[in-house]
Amino acid sequence: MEQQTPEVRLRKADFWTALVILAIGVFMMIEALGYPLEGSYAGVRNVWYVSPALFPLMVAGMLILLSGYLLLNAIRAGGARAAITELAEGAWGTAFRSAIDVWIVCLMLAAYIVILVPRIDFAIATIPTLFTFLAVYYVERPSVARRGLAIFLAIAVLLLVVTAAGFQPGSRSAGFYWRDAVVFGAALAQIAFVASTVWRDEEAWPRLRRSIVVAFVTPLLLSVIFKYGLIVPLPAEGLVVEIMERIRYFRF
Amino acid sequence: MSLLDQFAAFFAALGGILSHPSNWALLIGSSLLGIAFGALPGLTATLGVGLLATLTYSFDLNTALIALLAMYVGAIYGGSYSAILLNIPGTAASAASAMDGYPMAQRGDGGRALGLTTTASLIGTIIGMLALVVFAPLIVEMALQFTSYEFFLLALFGIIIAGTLQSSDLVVKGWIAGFIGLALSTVGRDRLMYYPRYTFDMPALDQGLEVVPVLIGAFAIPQIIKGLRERSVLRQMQKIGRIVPDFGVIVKNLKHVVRSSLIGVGIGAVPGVGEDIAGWVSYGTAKASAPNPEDFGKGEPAGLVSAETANNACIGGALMPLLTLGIPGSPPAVMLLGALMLHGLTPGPMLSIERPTFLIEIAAIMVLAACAMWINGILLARQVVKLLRIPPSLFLPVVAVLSVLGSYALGLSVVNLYLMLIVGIAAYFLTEMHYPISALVIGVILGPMADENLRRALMVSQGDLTPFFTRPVSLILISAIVLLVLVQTPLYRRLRVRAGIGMSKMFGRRG
Repeated sequence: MEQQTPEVRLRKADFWTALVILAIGVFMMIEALGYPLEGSYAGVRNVWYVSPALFPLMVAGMLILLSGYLLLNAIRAGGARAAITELAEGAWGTAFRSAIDVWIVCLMLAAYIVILVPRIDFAIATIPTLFTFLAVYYVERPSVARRGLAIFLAIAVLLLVVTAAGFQPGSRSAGFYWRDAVVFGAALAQIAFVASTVWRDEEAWPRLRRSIVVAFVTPLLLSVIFKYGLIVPLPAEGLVVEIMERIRYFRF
Repeated sequence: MSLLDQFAAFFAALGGILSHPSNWALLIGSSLLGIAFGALPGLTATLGVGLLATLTYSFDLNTALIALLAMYVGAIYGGSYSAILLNIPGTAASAASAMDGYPMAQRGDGGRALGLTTTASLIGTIIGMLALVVFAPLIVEMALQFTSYEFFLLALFGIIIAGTLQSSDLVVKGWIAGFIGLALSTVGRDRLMYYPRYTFDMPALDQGLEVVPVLIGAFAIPQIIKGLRERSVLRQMQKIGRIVPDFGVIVKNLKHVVRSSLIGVGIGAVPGVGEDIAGWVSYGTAKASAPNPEDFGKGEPAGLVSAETANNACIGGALMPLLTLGIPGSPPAVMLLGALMLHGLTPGPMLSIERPTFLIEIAAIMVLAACAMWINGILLARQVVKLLRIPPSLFLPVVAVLSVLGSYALGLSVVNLYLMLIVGIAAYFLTEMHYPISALVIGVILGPMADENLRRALMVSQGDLTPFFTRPVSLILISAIVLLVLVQTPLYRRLRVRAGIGMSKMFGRRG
């Protein structure tokens, strides 16, 4: 594949984004045409200028117009040709690999936000996430990054499978605490396994040690600040919050 | 309010804030946090204000504003640390400061350069505040005459100008970003008929998209992805030396200080255009007007002073349209608007009627924030500089966790987290393709204003469009929008080229 200039790369991106935005505009318009334009809604007689469709139609119209212009410009500037050639040559794999870090960060954020945070005690959900981020991007050892990431994703997938299988214990129930404990155990195992690979590496070991400290201290500190300082409930409160409550009220 | 009353209110506000020792700690602490956010490459003033907004939303409005403004002022100034010592601007606002700040540090004047930026930033912030106090009431007086016609067009103008000026590639991409923001704002039940739009029968979307998770997603997630992807390596830091507020150099460059402040205020007042542009324009103007332009870029204090004064003066300018019209003047001001909305305050011309002393209170907080920044800058700069040794890959994951918790804390809803994630990932890819995200965010914020006022205006005129063209301010705004769009068309560019050729022929013949 021949080397593309930044200008062609931008116009190629314009070609795809213009198509996506055009589709969004058309969808918005079709959907808005279903809203009451005239006639009667909820017993109130409607006229076009107070219709809830008026503004979305205007915005959709503008999006279609502007993305159409962008598309034409991309075609004229050679962006469409470059995009189609790339598609025909199956060069998407190369593009994907060159942005692998972007996909890793997105995947980890998605796993944390969609799978872990709503189900597991906030601190326990955050410990393996932070540790993995730091193992991948701070420790900078490919073996550490690969192992840390694989175990983190395995924890997330297993949790998803268990939830999909119907194990959804109520908040602060015994099942909830057990699930927290299992994930915490898995996080400890992840840390121990990753640490065992670099503990003799004089450069990587201090970084990993720092990562472990940050991964544990940050979620605990944030949990205390939000829960007791700002009086904001955490997304999911389980084992760690229970322990904190017991410490706070001497309930042993 | 008479001038005397305003002074009385100003000093009463100052006294009120300073009478609580907790406010002192908040001022110094938030300012220091702001400086750290500004100094650390990978963190920005916008992100700092956004994250602090989530931490302070349980505070009363005044206390939250003290923290947020101290953070804002500190972060804009803090960018100069890494610009001067590492040649990496901590924020875009300080990019111009690196031009002369870094060469000064290279020749062993790092402390002097930091002292200069500290004092220049203090002066810039104070002049910005003065401009805010002087011009905001005039804008409010004018805006109080506005009706729905003008407010709809004002929102449209805000999006068009933000898209035009912020686009680093094709201008049409800036406009598209603005209209995507408007499209996002239509999600939820409309406020006039309560009809569900684009909610897909999901009750969580009935109230529309929460602004703060959208803002955090749009500004934090792209920053986190970019920072981690780049795996930036720590550069060798220049020696600092003694940090001294070199008043002599400031006095010598007084004309640059005054001019840069005015440039900063003017640029800040333009919707969506931030401190970075103010810094560059001011630096360019200083260089063009200096008798020694060849010294710029080689450690000329005038260049450093110009850039730093302008970016901090921009804060007052950015608050002007925010507090008077409800249109944020810069990306951090967008976050500030989100924070004000969280506290149930809707900025706009009515604010001066609902809370007549609000502007004065803001001015008092800005003065204190500037002083806190100066004290921190002179006394604690050496400690802050130590933070520059922390690599972004160590603190960005922590920022990600803070963003998640901050987005959740506002509505106590996991849906906010999904919203933040989706908007954040989309914002990252849009940024990579040179779509200005600030224009998109301004679209989200101004969308409800545009929607409601368009329909109200048409209700008043019973569907007649002529009042849009017969009301003077409406006509001015329409003309401005049309002009902004027309100058971007190929037809205009062709005409300009032909006019240029014609002029050169004419002058050529005369010569």
